Amino acid sequence: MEDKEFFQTYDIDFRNFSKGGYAFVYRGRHKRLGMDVVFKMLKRQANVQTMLHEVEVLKRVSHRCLPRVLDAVEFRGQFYSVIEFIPGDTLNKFIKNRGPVSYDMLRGWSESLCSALSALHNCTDAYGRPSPIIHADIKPDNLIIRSGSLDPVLIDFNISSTNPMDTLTGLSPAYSPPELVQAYYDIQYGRPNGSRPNKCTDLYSLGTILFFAATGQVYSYTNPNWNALRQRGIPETYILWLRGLLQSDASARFQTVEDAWRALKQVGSVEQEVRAIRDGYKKGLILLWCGVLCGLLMIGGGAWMLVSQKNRSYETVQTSWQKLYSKGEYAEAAAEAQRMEEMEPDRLESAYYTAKTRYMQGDYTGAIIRMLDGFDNASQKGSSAVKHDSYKLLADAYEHQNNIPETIRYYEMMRSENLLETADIRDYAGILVEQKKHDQANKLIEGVALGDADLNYIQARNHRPTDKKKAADYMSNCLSIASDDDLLIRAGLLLAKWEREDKAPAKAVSTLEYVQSAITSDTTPSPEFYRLLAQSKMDLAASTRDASDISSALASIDQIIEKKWDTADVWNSKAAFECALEKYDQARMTISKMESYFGESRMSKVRSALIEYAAAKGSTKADDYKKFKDAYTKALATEGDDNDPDYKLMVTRAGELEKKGLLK
Amino acid sequence: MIGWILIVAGVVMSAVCLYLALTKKRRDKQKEEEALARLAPGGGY
Repeated sequence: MEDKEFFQTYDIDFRNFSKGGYAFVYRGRHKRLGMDVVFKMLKRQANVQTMLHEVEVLKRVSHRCLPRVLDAVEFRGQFYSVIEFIPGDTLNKFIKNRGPVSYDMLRGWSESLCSALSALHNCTDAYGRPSPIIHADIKPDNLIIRSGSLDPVLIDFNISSTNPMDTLTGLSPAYSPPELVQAYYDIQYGRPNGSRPNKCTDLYSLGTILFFAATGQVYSYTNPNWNALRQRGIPETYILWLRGLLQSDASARFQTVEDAWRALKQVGSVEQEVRAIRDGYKKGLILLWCGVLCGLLMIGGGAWMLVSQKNRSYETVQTSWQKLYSKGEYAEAAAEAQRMEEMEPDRLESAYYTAKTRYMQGDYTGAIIRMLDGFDNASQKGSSAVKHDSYKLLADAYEHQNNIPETIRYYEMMRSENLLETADIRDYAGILVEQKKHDQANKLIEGVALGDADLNYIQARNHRPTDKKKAADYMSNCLSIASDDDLLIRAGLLLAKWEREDKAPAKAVSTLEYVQSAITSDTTPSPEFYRLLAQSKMDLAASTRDASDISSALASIDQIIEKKWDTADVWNSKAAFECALEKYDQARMTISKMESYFGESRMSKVRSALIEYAAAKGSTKADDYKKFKDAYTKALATEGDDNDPDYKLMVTRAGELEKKGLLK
Repeated sequence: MIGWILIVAGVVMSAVCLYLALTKKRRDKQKEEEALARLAPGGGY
């Protein structure tokens, strides 16, 4: 290059220079690009090919962690290479000035250098064929930490290799792998050794400078000081990765930068994973030991329950039986009864509990057998209360089996031993009345204070066949003291029936209305109750013929019809009452509905005839009785009971009209 | 009955938890080694 052209392109400061291995290095500036550059001027004894090699290598690759080569010129008989100036210190100087770098910076540098090495190792030639560049001299002096960004930039590619068969021209032993150091000395002493710089040796060198950056110490493969890394707070996972780069055995090392780079990217996640496993270990262990403790407590609790179950007193078991019995848990109660029998087999009470449980489970035969065994074998009969309960149980069980003689026998035994209580008398008297043994029932109840509604009810039933007035008095008494709705309804119904039988419908109505007012609002009387009330009101209305009584009877009938408890009789009565109130059209409609619900019958035809008779009654014209005549003819044509009072009445009316000549 | 149920449940629970507690260290160590092996050369990353 001519002087003019050179100085038009570059400014060069010949005073600012330093010495390199094979060249002098000057600072300068590329005028057109406005970029600071360095000029490497070849020393006289150096081989120009060395310089051209570096230029060729750097021209093939571009990376932010590699310097850019701008030119290679010959000027005034000297060769210069023009390379981008990297402002900053070498790693060596950087560490000396600032000390070892932090873990975060170390991770960043690791990533950057892996990326740069990847660019070098995956380089291609001008034809696109793989042509990897092996730096072969990675060391702290060949790494510049760029000012400002603190990015590492790899420099000095003088001995870099692009051919696997290149000879080993130089190395830095402290930063080279053992196999390369060995090869270097073997070559020096003329011994054969095929080891050459390769991707794997570059990775080892990368490991050494990272170790240096982290600790400020040179790595020694004979005595690696991993603790220095630990003391600097470098995580184990990163140390493990670094060990993968620094393996003395080349085959155990990362083989490619891509492998190393991928593993490096996982350092963070593996670190978290390992930490999670370690944290989880402590928590999990605590939980599991808690589980063991809980299990042991359960075993202890279970054992305690078994022991305390075994050592319970008879009274405790008895209380437990009563609780289970009251809750209706009869299977568990049976087990407790069995326990009592095992504890005190001679006690009648033990047999009673078993029998009572069987009784509640519906096993009446079993209950009787166990109770009878108890009476035969138990030497300790216990208190009179126990005997009372046992006899009562037998009586009840026999009653369930419809064995009334045996039931009565046990009640009699209770009576002979003065064990009968009011409730027993009530039950026993009820049975006697059912069996129509009124005298016996009378004797039983005689002398018992009649404050008991049930006993009054029984006495009433007891006296009805012989003394109706006394029976009514007892029943009235029962109604006045009864608090139970069921008993009130039963007693009211029976008394009202008796009163109807005794032709006292007003009393029957009054009794039933009293029951209606006395029972609670939650209880609804049976259909039978309402029918009886309606019938009683009808009886009353029929006897008094009073309009208000008839209306009241009609209201009761309507209630029954509304509740669908109706029969043909009810409709017939309704029509009769409507007729009595001279509501003939309404009565005709009632009969029409009755026939639609229950079909035509003698009853409906007779009622129709009587309605027509009542409607025409008093008239002296034969035409007015035409409807009666039609209905009468139909009634005669219909089969039915000729002794029915309504039928007889119709026939009588027809006879009267015939005599008067009005039935033509 | 409840006593026996408690004893059986307690024995099963204790045995299972004890087994898991005693083998937890080994199992966790294995998991940790598997995770760390991903960082070693040829570690299946």
